[in-house]
Amino acid sequence: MRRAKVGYATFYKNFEDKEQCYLALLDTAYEASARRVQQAYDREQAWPDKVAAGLGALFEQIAAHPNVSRACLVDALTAGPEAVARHEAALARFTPLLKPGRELNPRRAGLPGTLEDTLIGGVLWVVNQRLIAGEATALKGLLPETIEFVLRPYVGEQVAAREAELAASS
Amino acid sequence: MAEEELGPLPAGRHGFSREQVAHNQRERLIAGLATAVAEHGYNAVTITHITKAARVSRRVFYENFESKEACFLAAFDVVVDHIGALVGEAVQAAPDWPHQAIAAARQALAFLASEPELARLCLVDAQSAGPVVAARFLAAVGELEAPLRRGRDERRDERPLPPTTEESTIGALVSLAARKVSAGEAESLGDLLPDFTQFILAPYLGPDEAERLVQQPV
Repeated sequence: MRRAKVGYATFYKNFEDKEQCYLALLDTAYEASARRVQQAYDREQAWPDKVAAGLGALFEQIAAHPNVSRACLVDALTAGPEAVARHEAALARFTPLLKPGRELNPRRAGLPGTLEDTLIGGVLWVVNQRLIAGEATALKGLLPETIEFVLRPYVGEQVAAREAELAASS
Repeated sequence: MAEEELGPLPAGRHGFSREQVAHNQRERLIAGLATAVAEHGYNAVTITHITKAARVSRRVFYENFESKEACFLAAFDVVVDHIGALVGEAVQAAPDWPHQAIAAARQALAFLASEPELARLCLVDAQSAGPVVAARFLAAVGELEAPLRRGRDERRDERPLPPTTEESTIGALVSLAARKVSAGEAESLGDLLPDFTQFILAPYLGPDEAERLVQQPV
Protein backbone atom coordinates (compact mmCIF):
# COMPACT_ATOMS: atom_id res chain seq x y z
CA MET A 1 0.00 0.00 0.00
CA ARG A 2 2.86 2.31 0.81
CA ARG A 3 4.26 1.63 -2.65
CA ALA A 4 0.87 2.24 -4.21
CA LYS A 5 0.37 5.37 -2.07
CA VAL A 6 -3.15 4.37 -1.04
CA GLY A 7 -4.77 3.87 2.37
CA TYR A 8 -6.33 0.79 4.02
CA ALA A 9 -9.80 1.93 3.00
CA THR A 10 -8.85 2.03 -0.66
CA PHE A 11 -7.20 -1.36 -0.41
CA TYR A 12 -10.27 -3.04 1.10
CA LYS A 13 -12.66 -1.25 -1.22
CA ASN A 14 -10.84 -2.99 -4.08
CA PHE A 15 -9.67 -6.30 -2.66
CA GLU A 16 -10.88 -8.66 0.05
CA ASP A 17 -7.37 -9.55 1.14
CA LYS A 18 -3.76 -9.91 0.07
CA GLU A 19 -4.51 -13.01 -1.97
CA GLN A 20 -7.25 -11.32 -4.02
CA CYS A 21 -4.88 -8.44 -4.70
CA TYR A 22 -2.15 -10.87 -5.81
CA LEU A 23 -4.53 -12.80 -8.06
CA ALA A 24 -5.61 -9.54 -9.68
CA LEU A 25 -1.94 -8.76 -10.34
CA LEU A 26 -1.52 -12.17 -11.97
CA ASP A 27 -4.57 -11.68 -14.18
CA THR A 28 -3.45 -8.25 -15.32
CA ALA A 29 0.14 -9.27 -16.00
CA TYR A 30 -0.68 -12.54 -17.77
CA GLU A 31 -3.22 -10.74 -19.92
CA ALA A 32 -0.79 -7.96 -20.84
CA SER A 33 1.97 -10.43 -21.77
CA ALA A 34 -0.34 -12.69 -23.76
CA ARG A 35 -1.63 -9.68 -25.70
CA ARG A 36 1.88 -8.44 -26.51
CA VAL A 37 2.94 -11.89 -27.66
CA GLN A 38 -0.18 -12.35 -29.76
CA GLN A 39 0.27 -8.96 -31.44
CA ALA A 40 3.89 -9.67 -32.33
CA TYR A 41 2.91 -13.15 -33.56
CA ASP A 42 0.08 -11.81 -35.71
CA ARG A 43 2.26 -9.21 -37.41
CA GLU A 44 4.40 -11.90 -39.10
CA GLN A 45 3.44 -14.12 -42.02
CA ALA A 46 5.56 -17.28 -41.82
CA TRP A 47 5.14 -19.45 -38.73
CA PRO A 48 8.84 -19.51 -37.70
CA ASP A 49 8.87 -15.69 -37.87
CA LYS A 50 5.70 -15.57 -35.80
CA VAL A 51 7.24 -17.69 -33.03
CA ALA A 52 10.48 -15.70 -33.09
CA ALA A 53 8.55 -12.42 -32.84
CA GLY A 54 6.32 -13.75 -30.07
CA LEU A 55 9.28 -14.93 -28.01
CA GLY A 56 11.02 -11.61 -28.60
CA ALA A 57 7.98 -9.72 -27.31
CA LEU A 58 7.71 -12.02 -24.29
CA PHE A 59 11.37 -11.60 -23.33
CA GLU A 60 11.12 -7.82 -23.77
CA GLN A 61 8.04 -7.68 -21.56
CA ILE A 62 9.72 -9.80 -18.87
CA ALA A 63 12.99 -7.85 -18.96
CA ALA A 64 11.06 -4.57 -18.68
CA HIS A 65 9.12 -5.79 -15.62
CA PRO A 66 11.39 -8.18 -13.73
CA ASN A 67 9.66 -7.84 -10.34
CA VAL A 68 6.14 -8.40 -11.60
CA SER A 69 7.45 -11.23 -13.80
CA ARG A 70 9.05 -12.88 -10.82
CA ALA A 71 5.82 -12.62 -8.85
CA CYS A 72 3.88 -14.12 -11.76
CA LEU A 73 6.25 -16.83 -12.93
CA VAL A 74 8.36 -17.88 -9.95
CA ASP A 75 6.24 -17.06 -6.88
CA ALA A 76 2.94 -18.14 -8.43
CA LEU A 77 3.97 -21.78 -8.12
CA THR A 78 3.96 -21.52 -4.34
CA ALA A 79 1.09 -19.11 -3.82
CA GLY A 80 -1.72 -21.59 -3.43
CA PRO A 81 -3.99 -23.57 -5.75
CA GLU A 82 -5.79 -20.58 -7.26
CA ALA A 83 -2.52 -18.92 -8.31
CA VAL A 84 -1.18 -22.22 -9.64
CA ALA A 85 -4.34 -22.71 -11.71
CA ARG A 86 -4.03 -19.24 -13.23
CA HIS A 87 -0.36 -19.80 -13.96
CA GLU A 88 -1.25 -23.07 -15.74
CA ALA A 89 -3.99 -21.35 -17.72
CA ALA A 90 -1.61 -18.57 -18.74
CA LEU A 91 0.95 -21.09 -20.01
CA ALA A 92 -1.72 -23.05 -21.85
CA ARG A 93 -2.44 -19.96 -23.97
CA PHE A 94 0.88 -20.44 -25.74
CA THR A 95 0.08 -23.98 -26.90
CA PRO A 96 -2.13 -22.94 -29.87
CA LEU A 97 0.63 -20.60 -31.06
CA LEU A 98 3.06 -23.52 -31.33
CA LYS A 99 0.74 -26.25 -32.62
CA PRO A 100 0.61 -24.97 -36.27
CA GLY A 101 4.34 -25.77 -36.43
CA ARG A 102 3.42 -29.46 -36.58
CA GLU A 103 2.03 -28.93 -40.08
CA LEU A 104 5.49 -27.88 -41.25
CA ASN A 105 7.05 -31.15 -40.13
CA PRO A 106 6.95 -34.02 -42.64
CA ARG A 107 7.31 -36.49 -39.74
CA ARG A 108 4.54 -34.87 -37.73
CA ALA A 109 2.96 -38.20 -36.77
CA GLY A 110 6.11 -39.01 -34.81
CA LEU A 111 6.15 -35.79 -32.78
CA PRO A 112 5.52 -36.32 -29.05
CA GLY A 113 2.05 -35.29 -27.87
CA THR A 114 3.61 -33.36 -24.99
CA LEU A 115 5.94 -31.36 -27.26
CA GLU A 116 4.25 -27.96 -26.75
CA ASP A 117 4.04 -28.38 -22.97
CA THR A 118 7.66 -29.48 -22.89
CA LEU A 119 8.91 -26.52 -24.92
CA ILE A 120 6.89 -24.03 -22.90
CA GLY A 121 8.34 -25.61 -19.77
CA GLY A 122 11.84 -25.19 -21.18
CA VAL A 123 11.37 -21.51 -21.99
CA LEU A 124 9.82 -20.93 -18.58
CA TRP A 125 12.77 -22.66 -16.94
CA VAL A 126 15.35 -20.46 -18.68
CA VAL A 127 13.33 -17.34 -17.85
CA ASN A 128 12.83 -18.34 -14.21
CA GLN A 129 16.51 -19.05 -13.62
CA ARG A 130 17.36 -15.54 -14.87
CA LEU A 131 14.60 -13.96 -12.75
CA ILE A 132 15.76 -15.82 -9.64
CA ALA A 133 19.35 -14.74 -10.29
CA GLY A 134 18.19 -11.13 -10.80
CA GLU A 135 19.50 -11.20 -14.38
CA ALA A 136 16.40 -10.47 -16.43
CA THR A 137 18.50 -8.27 -18.70
CA ALA A 138 20.42 -11.37 -19.82
CA LEU A 139 17.27 -12.67 -21.53
CA LYS A 140 17.85 -10.54 -24.63
CA GLY A 141 21.14 -12.34 -25.26
CA LEU A 142 19.45 -15.72 -24.82
CA LEU A 143 16.68 -14.95 -27.30
CA PRO A 144 18.35 -16.42 -30.43
CA GLU A 145 19.10 -19.79 -28.84
CA THR A 146 15.68 -19.94 -27.20
CA ILE A 147 14.12 -19.38 -30.63
CA GLU A 148 16.25 -22.21 -31.99
CA PHE A 149 15.27 -24.47 -29.08
CA VAL A 150 11.55 -23.92 -29.67
CA LEU A 151 11.63 -24.15 -33.47
CA ARG A 152 14.01 -27.09 -33.90
CA PRO A 153 11.55 -29.93 -33.23
CA TYR A 154 9.12 -28.52 -35.80
CA VAL A 155 11.21 -27.20 -38.66
CA GLY A 156 14.55 -28.92 -38.13
CA GLU A 157 17.87 -27.54 -37.05
CA GLN A 158 18.78 -25.64 -40.21
CA VAL A 159 15.68 -23.48 -40.39
CA ALA A 160 15.70 -23.04 -36.60
CA ALA A 161 19.35 -21.94 -36.65
CA ARG A 162 18.69 -19.49 -39.50
CA GLU A 163 15.81 -17.96 -37.56
CA ALA A 164 18.09 -17.68 -34.51
CA GLU A 165 20.73 -15.89 -36.58
CA LEU A 166 18.12 -13.46 -37.87
CA ALA A 167 17.11 -12.66 -34.30
CA ALA A 168 20.74 -12.27 -33.26
CA SER A 169 21.44 -9.76 -36.01
CA SER A 170 18.32 -7.64 -35.49
CA MET B 1 11.09 -44.83 3.21
CA ALA B 2 7.34 -44.94 3.87
CA GLU B 3 6.33 -44.47 7.47
CA GLU B 4 4.70 -47.85 7.90
CA GLU B 5 7.97 -49.58 7.09
CA LEU B 6 9.56 -48.05 10.14
CA GLY B 7 7.07 -48.62 12.95
CA PRO B 8 7.66 -47.32 16.48
CA LEU B 9 11.03 -47.78 18.11
CA PRO B 10 10.92 -50.65 20.58
CA ALA B 11 10.72 -49.33 24.13
CA GLY B 12 13.22 -50.03 26.88
CA ARG B 13 16.30 -52.14 26.40
CA HIS B 14 16.30 -52.59 22.65
CA GLY B 15 19.95 -53.47 22.25
CA PHE B 16 20.79 -50.60 19.89
CA SER B 17 23.82 -48.46 20.54
CA ARG B 18 23.28 -44.76 21.10
CA GLU B 19 24.61 -44.01 17.58
CA GLN B 20 22.30 -46.57 16.01
CA VAL B 21 19.31 -45.09 17.77
CA ALA B 22 20.35 -41.58 16.76
CA HIS B 23 20.82 -42.63 13.16
CA ASN B 24 17.50 -44.39 13.16
CA GLN B 25 15.79 -41.34 14.64
CA ARG B 26 17.26 -39.12 11.97
CA GLU B 27 15.92 -41.41 9.27
CA ARG B 28 12.54 -41.54 10.96
CA LEU B 29 12.44 -37.77 11.05
CA ILE B 30 13.29 -37.61 7.35
CA ALA B 31 10.54 -40.12 6.57
CA GLY B 32 8.22 -38.21 8.90
CA LEU B 33 8.94 -34.98 7.07
CA ALA B 34 8.15 -36.63 3.73
CA THR B 35 4.80 -37.83 5.07
CA ALA B 36 3.95 -34.52 6.74
CA VAL B 37 4.96 -32.43 3.72
CA ALA B 38 2.87 -34.67 1.45
CA GLU B 39 -0.13 -33.97 3.64
CA HIS B 40 0.30 -30.28 4.40
CA GLY B 41 2.73 -28.91 1.82
CA TYR B 42 6.12 -27.53 2.85
CA ASN B 43 5.02 -24.02 3.70
CA ALA B 44 2.24 -25.10 6.06
CA VAL B 45 4.03 -28.02 7.66
CA THR B 46 5.11 -27.62 11.31
CA ILE B 47 7.72 -29.33 13.45
CA THR B 48 4.81 -30.92 15.35
CA HIS B 49 3.45 -32.47 12.14
CA ILE B 50 6.91 -33.91 11.46
CA THR B 51 7.54 -35.29 14.95
CA LYS B 52 4.04 -36.79 15.06
CA ALA B 53 4.53 -38.54 11.75
CA ALA B 54 7.99 -39.71 12.85
CA ARG B 55 6.72 -40.64 16.34
CA VAL B 56 9.65 -39.01 18.07
CA SER B 57 9.80 -36.12 20.51
CA ARG B 58 10.39 -32.48 19.71
CA ARG B 59 13.64 -32.66 21.63
CA VAL B 60 14.86 -35.43 19.33
CA PHE B 61 13.95 -33.29 16.34
CA TYR B 62 16.14 -30.44 17.55
CA GLU B 63 18.97 -32.83 18.40
CA ASN B 64 19.05 -33.77 14.73
CA PHE B 65 17.99 -30.65 12.84
CA GLU B 66 18.05 -27.00 13.67
CA SER B 67 14.95 -26.21 11.61
CA LYS B 68 12.25 -27.50 9.35
CA GLU B 69 14.36 -26.29 6.44
CA ALA B 70 17.38 -28.32 7.55
CA CYS B 71 15.21 -31.42 7.85
CA PHE B 72 13.75 -30.79 4.40
CA LEU B 73 17.23 -30.39 2.90
CA ALA B 74 18.28 -33.69 4.46
CA ALA B 75 15.20 -35.39 3.03
CA PHE B 76 15.77 -33.82 -0.37
CA ASP B 77 19.39 -35.03 -0.39
CA VAL B 78 18.35 -38.56 0.59
CA VAL B 79 15.85 -38.75 -2.28
CA VAL B 80 18.22 -37.21 -4.83
CA ASP B 81 21.08 -39.51 -3.76
CA HIS B 82 18.77 -42.49 -4.02
CA ILE B 83 17.65 -41.55 -7.54
CA GLY B 84 21.28 -40.87 -8.43
CA ALA B 85 22.28 -44.37 -7.27
CA LEU B 86 19.44 -46.03 -9.22
CA VAL B 87 20.28 -44.05 -12.34
CA GLY B 88 24.02 -44.68 -11.95
CA GLU B 89 23.47 -48.42 -11.79
CA ALA B 90 21.23 -48.43 -14.88
CA VAL B 91 23.62 -46.22 -16.84
CA GLN B 92 26.57 -48.52 -16.14
CA ALA B 93 24.75 -51.40 -17.76
CA ALA B 94 24.01 -49.43 -20.95
CA PRO B 95 26.31 -49.94 -23.96
CA ASP B 96 26.50 -46.38 -25.34
CA TRP B 97 25.48 -42.79 -24.69
CA PRO B 98 22.00 -42.93 -26.27
CA HIS B 99 21.08 -46.02 -24.27
CA GLN B 100 22.56 -44.49 -21.13
CA ALA B 101 20.32 -41.47 -21.60
CA ILE B 102 17.28 -43.70 -22.12
CA ALA B 103 18.16 -45.83 -19.08
CA ALA B 104 18.60 -42.74 -16.91
CA ALA B 105 15.24 -41.29 -17.93
CA ARG B 106 13.52 -44.64 -17.43
CA GLN B 107 14.93 -45.15 -13.92
CA ALA B 108 14.20 -41.62 -12.77
CA LEU B 109 10.62 -41.66 -14.07
CA ALA B 110 9.96 -45.16 -12.70
CA PHE B 111 11.14 -44.17 -9.22
CA LEU B 112 9.16 -40.93 -9.16
CA ALA B 113 6.03 -42.72 -10.39
CA SER B 114 6.37 -45.36 -7.68
CA GLU B 115 6.86 -42.77 -4.92
CA PRO B 116 4.40 -39.93 -5.59
CA GLU B 117 4.98 -38.33 -2.17
CA LEU B 118 8.72 -38.18 -2.70
CA ALA B 119 8.21 -36.99 -6.27
CA ARG B 120 6.20 -34.11 -4.90
CA LEU B 121 8.80 -33.37 -2.26
CA CYS B 122 11.71 -33.17 -4.66
CA LEU B 123 9.98 -31.66 -7.72
CA VAL B 124 7.24 -29.40 -6.38
CA ASP B 125 7.92 -28.52 -2.75
CA ALA B 126 11.65 -28.15 -3.37
CA GLN B 127 10.94 -25.36 -5.85
CA SER B 128 8.68 -23.49 -3.48
CA ALA B 129 10.36 -23.97 -0.10
CA GLY B 130 12.33 -20.75 -0.05
CA PRO B 131 15.68 -19.60 -1.45
CA VAL B 132 18.01 -22.04 0.34
CA VAL B 133 16.05 -25.11 -0.71
CA ALA B 134 15.47 -23.71 -4.21
CA ALA B 135 19.22 -23.23 -4.62
CA ARG B 136 19.81 -26.87 -3.63
CA PHE B 137 17.12 -27.92 -6.10
CA LEU B 138 18.73 -25.93 -8.91
CA ALA B 139 22.13 -27.37 -8.10
CA ALA B 140 20.72 -30.91 -8.24
CA VAL B 141 19.04 -30.23 -11.60
CA GLY B 142 22.23 -28.58 -12.85
CA GLU B 143 24.14 -31.82 -12.15
CA LEU B 144 22.17 -33.43 -14.96
CA GLU B 145 23.66 -31.10 -17.57
CA ALA B 146 27.16 -32.61 -17.78
CA PRO B 147 26.11 -36.17 -18.67
CA LEU B 148 23.66 -34.79 -21.23
CA ARG B 149 26.33 -32.57 -22.75
CA ARG B 150 28.36 -35.69 -23.55
CA GLY B 151 25.76 -36.30 -26.26
CA ARG B 152 27.46 -33.54 -28.25
CA ASP B 153 30.15 -36.07 -29.18
CA GLU B 154 27.46 -38.05 -31.01
CA ARG B 155 26.59 -35.20 -33.34
CA ARG B 156 27.34 -35.56 -37.05
CA ASP B 157 26.70 -31.88 -37.72
CA GLU B 158 29.77 -29.63 -37.50
CA ARG B 159 27.81 -26.74 -36.11
CA PRO B 160 27.85 -26.69 -32.30
CA LEU B 161 24.53 -26.67 -30.43
CA PRO B 162 23.75 -23.43 -28.59
CA PRO B 163 25.29 -23.30 -25.09
CA THR B 164 21.95 -23.38 -23.25
CA THR B 165 20.70 -26.52 -25.04
CA GLU B 166 21.24 -28.75 -22.00
CA GLU B 167 19.81 -26.20 -19.57
CA SER B 168 16.64 -25.77 -21.64
CA THR B 169 16.24 -29.48 -22.32
CA ILE B 170 16.56 -30.52 -18.70
CA GLY B 171 14.53 -27.56 -17.52
CA ALA B 172 11.80 -28.47 -19.99
CA LEU B 173 11.60 -32.05 -18.72
CA VAL B 174 11.83 -31.12 -15.04
CA SER B 175 9.09 -28.48 -15.51
CA LEU B 176 6.86 -30.94 -17.32
CA ALA B 177 7.36 -33.63 -14.68
CA ALA B 178 6.78 -31.11 -11.87
CA ARG B 179 3.53 -29.96 -13.47
CA LYS B 180 2.33 -33.57 -13.76
CA VAL B 181 3.16 -34.24 -10.12
CA SER B 182 1.57 -30.97 -9.06
CA ALA B 183 -1.62 -31.99 -10.90
CA GLY B 184 -1.70 -35.26 -8.91
CA GLU B 185 -0.60 -37.39 -11.86
CA ALA B 186 2.72 -38.63 -10.49
CA GLU B 187 1.73 -42.28 -10.94
CA SER B 188 1.54 -41.85 -14.71
CA LEU B 189 5.00 -40.26 -15.03
CA GLY B 190 6.28 -43.49 -16.59
CA ASP B 191 4.03 -42.85 -19.61
CA LEU B 192 6.20 -39.84 -20.44
CA LEU B 193 9.26 -42.00 -21.15
CA PRO B 194 8.95 -42.15 -24.98
CA ASP B 195 8.34 -38.39 -25.21
CA PHE B 196 11.18 -37.68 -22.79
CA THR B 197 13.70 -39.84 -24.62
CA GLN B 198 12.80 -38.47 -28.00
CA PHE B 199 13.13 -34.93 -26.69
CA ILE B 200 16.46 -35.68 -25.02
CA LEU B 201 18.03 -37.49 -27.96
CA ALA B 202 16.80 -35.48 -30.96
CA PRO B 203 19.24 -32.52 -30.72
CA TYR B 204 22.20 -34.89 -30.54
CA LEU B 205 21.24 -37.77 -32.84
CA GLY B 206 18.76 -36.06 -35.15
CA PRO B 207 15.00 -36.64 -35.11
CA ASP B 208 15.01 -39.84 -37.20
CA GLU B 209 17.51 -41.71 -35.09
CA ALA B 210 15.85 -40.45 -31.89
CA GLU B 211 12.49 -41.75 -33.05
CA ARG B 212 13.99 -45.08 -34.07
CA LEU B 213 15.61 -45.57 -30.65
CA VAL B 214 12.41 -44.66 -28.83
CA GLN B 215 10.53 -47.34 -30.75
CA GLN B 216 13.21 -49.93 -30.15
CA PRO B 217 12.15 -52.60 -27.65
CA VAL B 218 14.00 -52.55 -24.32
